[in-house]
Order: sequence, then C-alpha cells, then structure tokens
Amino acid sequence: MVTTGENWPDALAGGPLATKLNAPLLLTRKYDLPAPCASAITTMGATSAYILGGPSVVDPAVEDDLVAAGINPGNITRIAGDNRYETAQLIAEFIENYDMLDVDTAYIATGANFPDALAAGPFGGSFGRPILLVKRDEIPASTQAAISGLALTTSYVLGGTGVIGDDVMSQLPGATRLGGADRYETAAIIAEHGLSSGGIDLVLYTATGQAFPDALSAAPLAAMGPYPIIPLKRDSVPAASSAYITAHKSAITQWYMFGGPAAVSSETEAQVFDILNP
Amino acid sequence: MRVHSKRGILVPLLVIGLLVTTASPCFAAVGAVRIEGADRYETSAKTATQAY
Repeated sequence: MVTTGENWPDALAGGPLATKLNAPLLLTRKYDLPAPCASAITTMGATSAYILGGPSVVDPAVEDDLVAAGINPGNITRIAGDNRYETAQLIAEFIENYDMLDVDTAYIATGANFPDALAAGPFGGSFGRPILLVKRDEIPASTQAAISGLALTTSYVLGGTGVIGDDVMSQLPGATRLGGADRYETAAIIAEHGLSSGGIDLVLYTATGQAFPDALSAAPLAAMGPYPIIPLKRDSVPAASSAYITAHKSAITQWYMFGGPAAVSSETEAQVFDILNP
Repeated sequence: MRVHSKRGILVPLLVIGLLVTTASPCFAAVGAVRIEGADRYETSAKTATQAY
C-alpha cells in the first residue's frame, strides 16, 4: 500500500486497511516513488498495489514508478474520496467487503489531527475495526453514511472532549470514550484497551508522537500482535508512556524504535532503556 | 578431601546458575532495535522489509 508521506489526512485511516491487505505501508512523494520504496517493492516481489489518496496527493507518475518496480499495471487500485472523511468511509467499506467481514465496531477519531487515529491503527487492522473520522462538533455526511451502511453497533471514541465533543459522541452507536488529557495519555489508554481486547504486550513499539510518518508505516507491523505503538517526544518520555512501559516491562522481551535520533533522541532512547531495565 | 568434594559440586552449580541467569529472557537487557532510514521514505521502506 502506498500513500503520501507529505501530509497525513489521507493516511489517517490507512493502518487498518494495510493490515487487512497484509501489505506494508510505503510512503511516497507526490510526483515520484522514492528509490528505497521502489527497492522494497522489488525485494518483496510485490505484484499489486493500493494507492491511498487521489491524484492531487499521489500523482499518476507514481503509478509508472510502481510498474517499473514490478507491480502489474492492471493490479493498481486507488482508494480516494473527495476529502479525508470520505476516504475513511471508502476504506471502512472496503474492509467490510474485502473478506466479507461483518464490521460492527469502529474507532472514531478526529479528522483534525493524526495522533489518536495512529494509536488505534494496529488494533483496528487486527480486530477488523475501521477508523472513521469526525469533526469536534459534527459528524460529516460520509462518516454518517459509513455508520449507517456498516450498521455499526459499537464505537470507540478516541480522544477527549477537546477533540470530539460529547454531542457528537451521543450520536454514535454504543459509544465508549478512550480519551486522556493529551495524545500520549490517549495512546496509553488505547493501548490498554487493545490489550484487554486480545492485544499482546510482549513487544514494545515506540515512535515519535510529534509527527505522523514513522508510526503510520509501523502500524501494519504492529498489527501482527497486535502490539501497541507507544508515542514518545523527541527529547523526553511522556508520563503516560512511561507509566505504560513501567506497567508492562516484565512482559516486554523485544523493543522496536521507528525513526532515527532526529525523531526520538538517543537520550530519550536511554530513558526508555532505563525504565525497561531498572 | 571434603573441601575438594564440595568444590566439585559447587562450581558446576554456579556455572549452571550463571548460564541459566544470563540465558533467560527475564534477565536479559531489552534494548532498542532502531528501524530508521535517511528520511521518512527510507524508514517506511525498511519497516516494510522488516515484516515482509
């Protein structure tokens, strides 16, 4: 699966889709597929590709690059709505139709920012729960159409009232809020909820919570547990992330950090190491 | 003779204990495996090939 690495709206709901397709999520520039991604496609021997987002974010020239990397020209599928809300709707419908899975539960995230949707990505893919997007005080028409079309009975509302208001939550079927004081606390709450639903804490995944690319591309990998992705700041371990790691350190046997020191510093890595290995 | 006999038992027990302790994941330090590239695109490519 290929999506833009230049902005996050089209990619917000992509984690569960990539997992459903059993596909890695590669980031591309608008007009050309970066060489490392083309090499990865060739190395993996991939012959089909899904592009997330329309031509305004992933130009048709990228399709030519995909073909050059080994993708069959007839096996390129675009999933793109007129906006982020419609794209999420199309992904949700695709997930339900892909293997005739009866989707009755979804994660509901704000479409105005990326952290909450990314935290739910591994669990959404593994549990067959798409991510639908709302505004703080409004359920967009395409999201409402998805809720009705899928006949959802359960909604997990991601984030506090600052990002999704109580009025919106009251209109969602079977709604439970998974929200903390900030993105880090919300991610920890989502992680604990995911573990209580069948997730696994043997492997720790960490990535910056301050930018979207690394956590987004890690989602299909983390969904194999599913394992939570715990967000960090570049130069510190947020309190909620530290509390999660402390609570699960006796179970954690492997730790993957996505992104280099520019995303999460070596000092922060050392802080996490010290929590894991007191 | 008795001392030599005790040492003959204790030394292997200590070695076995040391091996069990260091081999057990419960006692092994858990360090980060960094999956990183020169930029977000290379990181996504390395993440992809890590799994697939």
